[in-house]
Amino acid sequence: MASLDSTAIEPVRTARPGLNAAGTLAVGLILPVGLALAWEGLAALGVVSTRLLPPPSQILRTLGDLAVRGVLLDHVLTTLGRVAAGFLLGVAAGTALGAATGVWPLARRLLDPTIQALRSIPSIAWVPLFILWFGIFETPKVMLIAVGVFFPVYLTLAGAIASVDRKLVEVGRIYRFGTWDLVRRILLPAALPTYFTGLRGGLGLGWMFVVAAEFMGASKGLGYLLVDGQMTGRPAIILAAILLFAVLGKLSDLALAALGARLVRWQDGFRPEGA
Amino acid sequence: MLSLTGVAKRYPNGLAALSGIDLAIDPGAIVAVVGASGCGKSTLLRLVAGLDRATAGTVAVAGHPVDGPGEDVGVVFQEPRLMPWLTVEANIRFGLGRLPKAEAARRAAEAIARVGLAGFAQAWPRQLSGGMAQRVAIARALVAKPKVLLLDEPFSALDTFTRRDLHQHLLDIWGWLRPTMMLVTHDIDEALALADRVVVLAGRPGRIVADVAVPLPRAERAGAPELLRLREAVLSSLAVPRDAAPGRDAGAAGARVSAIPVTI
Repeated sequence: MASLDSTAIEPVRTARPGLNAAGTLAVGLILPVGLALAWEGLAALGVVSTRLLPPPSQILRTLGDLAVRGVLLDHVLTTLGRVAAGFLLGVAAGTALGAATGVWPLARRLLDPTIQALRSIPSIAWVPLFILWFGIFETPKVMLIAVGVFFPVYLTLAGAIASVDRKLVEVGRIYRFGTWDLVRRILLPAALPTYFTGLRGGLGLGWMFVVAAEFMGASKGLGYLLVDGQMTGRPAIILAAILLFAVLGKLSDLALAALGARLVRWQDGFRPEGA
Repeated sequence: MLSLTGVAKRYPNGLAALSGIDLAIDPGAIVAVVGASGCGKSTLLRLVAGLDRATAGTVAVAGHPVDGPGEDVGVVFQEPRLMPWLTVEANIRFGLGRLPKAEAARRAAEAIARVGLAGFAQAWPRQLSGGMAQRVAIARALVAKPKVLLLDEPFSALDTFTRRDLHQHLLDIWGWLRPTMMLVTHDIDEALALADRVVVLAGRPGRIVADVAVPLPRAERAGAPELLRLREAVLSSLAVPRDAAPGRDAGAAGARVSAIPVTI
């Protein structure tokens, strides 16, 4: 899955020895800031056309204009709200079904084939149906995002539970754990590191699908800004929205990764998050 | 305290692991079960632990037939099997049922002290050496003060020095709680150093081929001529050629046993 790649190299948990958090941040900023400066310079020299590819300064000015007019925050919050609602819904469903199929072989045999079949449907294909079912406002958008988030969460959790060390499960048997204790005290904690990888993959897909959802008819949100920029021939608006997607996606992933790193700080050794 | 009568175990795939096992163990005794790999000694322990069921015969702990893991029985496996997401203390409290918090903390602290890990209560399993991790596993098995302690090759992954250190810890603990202990091992010297009785399993399906009492006090065992004689008795019951050179492969049945030097 392409979206999982974006979560693959994120050393949130441990900075390299000799490099503190600020240093890590500075190193990470070298490339984007350098590229932006080069781009700006090339635009100033007239090497690239500023009409189709406006320089960073113009994108920032566009963002500033939107902010001053008071609409920027509205667009951002609208999109964030959709991603958050869809993410929570998808995570809830993916966690419940992933845990069920991971723990009960019967549930796995019953549900997994169907879920796997549904997974092979391109999620965008649901859009017309969702619009018919849920109308054109928030519900179909949130549902589409939730569908996108559901699958990676479901798959990683079910897989992680199924691969929990049988020897640890046997310790639970020794102490006469019932199913609930087994799930709560052994299976879920053991699955947690992999589960967080699934959550981050799901969040990445959530950001992907919010764009699709907002393309299908929205009057607000960053996806709307993209469409608006295209319709009115203002590439600066499109690039401003893209920049915001990058920043918001990165920040939300960082927050999730930091939460995960806190919860799995018992984990052995150095391993890049998402590996 | 432990009694097995006519016990046999056949796995669903048809493999017969044990047959005709009769064994009674007195309360507070330490009995070692030795045998080559694949002779069914771990299967025997799993039957007593209630992790597997015998296909024939009865297994009873304290007079009650075993029909699943019971609270009177603590188990230490070959690997520590600690939960990596729990601290040492929380891992040990895993072995306690529902108790008031203060009582659980007191019991855990006591068990931690007994295995010499005071000061490591808040450490993570990954920070422990192999020997320390196995001590935590022992503390977890004992914290509920079971009447029976089952040990499945608990020291086989440890180096010689750590192993001896753990032998001492185990004997200290035995002196404290006096549990009935069944120690499965393929190390004859370990069996002779720790046990009151050495039960030898051999064959497929495994059956008891010798039951050797070790009458010497443990403190007097190191290097005692009597012990060497017992060692020969155990080895010969395993049908290992007596002149098998240490380190030489004496065939599947006795390979591991013959490789062990005669020092204790």
